[in-house]
Amino acid sequence: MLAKDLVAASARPLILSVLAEGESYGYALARRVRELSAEQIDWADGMLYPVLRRLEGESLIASEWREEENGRERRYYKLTMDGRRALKAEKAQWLVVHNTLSQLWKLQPASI
Amino acid sequence: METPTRFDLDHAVTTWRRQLTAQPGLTPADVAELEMHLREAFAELHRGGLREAEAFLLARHRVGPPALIAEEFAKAEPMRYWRHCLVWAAGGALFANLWQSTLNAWTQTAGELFLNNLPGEIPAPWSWLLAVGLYLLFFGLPLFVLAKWVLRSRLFASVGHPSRWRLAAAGLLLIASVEGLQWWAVQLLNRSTQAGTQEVVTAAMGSDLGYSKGPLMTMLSGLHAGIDTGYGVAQTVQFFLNALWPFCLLALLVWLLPRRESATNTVVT
Repeated sequence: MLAKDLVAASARPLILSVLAEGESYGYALARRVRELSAEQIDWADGMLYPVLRRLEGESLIASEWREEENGRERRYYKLTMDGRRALKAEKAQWLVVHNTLSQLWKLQPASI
Repeated sequence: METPTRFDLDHAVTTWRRQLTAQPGLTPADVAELEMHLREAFAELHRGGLREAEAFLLARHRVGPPALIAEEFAKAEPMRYWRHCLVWAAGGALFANLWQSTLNAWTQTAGELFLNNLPGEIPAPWSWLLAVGLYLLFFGLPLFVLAKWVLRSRLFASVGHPSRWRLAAAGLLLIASVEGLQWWAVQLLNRSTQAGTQEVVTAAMGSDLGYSKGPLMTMLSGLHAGIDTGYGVAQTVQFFLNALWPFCLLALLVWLLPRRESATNTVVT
């Protein structure tokens, strides 16, 4: 299981990256991350939303309420142009960490 | 074997939502979004083979404890937390103010009628206790019951985000109706009591002429008195306290009202 600090630090690039695949909503976002990490990244799902608010405050993502078939409203998030730029910067930084550790651990470095 | 009591999802969600709504800094939109999340998590876990009660417990656990969620929201948007507290303070003050203005006039009417119909004079400490008792009975108790009812009712949870205009219109209408009720009460009071006892009861009720007349009437009579006599200063102070205060609170409330997020953050691209 991932340490709490690391979960908090990685929430931002993870959310931006999932939204880079296409627009999504809170529950689907959390499920996608949980599945991809083989349940190793276990968010308290409620914590996802404050991060989404923060990202929206920075105009990195935008949201829209849409009515579903069952009559309930669901809030969809999508990446903005600023968000794409921010993701690029995040990616570069995380890859620096990844590549450094990979070399130390004699793993195959990731390509950018 | 089946569980003796059937699991009621809506009831469980309502209880959970109430805990969440009680946290400061969460907008109805946040709560709605988290509720949707909880329901989806529940549905998926239930489909996966868990019994309803177990699925709900696990879904609730996954979403996380309400206090912690609210804390994270407050960290993400610190201003909103204070805004939320201010909305409550302004709304509560406006409500209590209007309630007091309305009921002061009516308690006086009732008190007057009651005292006037007593066979004899009541000695000093008892008359005072009687006045306090009447005040609590007519002002404190209904205010408490009404506030409790409003907070617990579905109405409160379903109001969500009213528009600014609607809130302003409702507030003005409320102030106007309070004025009307007070005017009516004062008419009744004038008709049914003698001038002598009025001051005694008014003083005992802890109010004054300004309150018995209500904001607008005080304003009008204050201006009138200011022109006619030298009594203007006290009346002008009353005007500020009684007439401007509800309007200021209403303005503050309208200004503080959280913007409807779905309208402002709509995706344009």
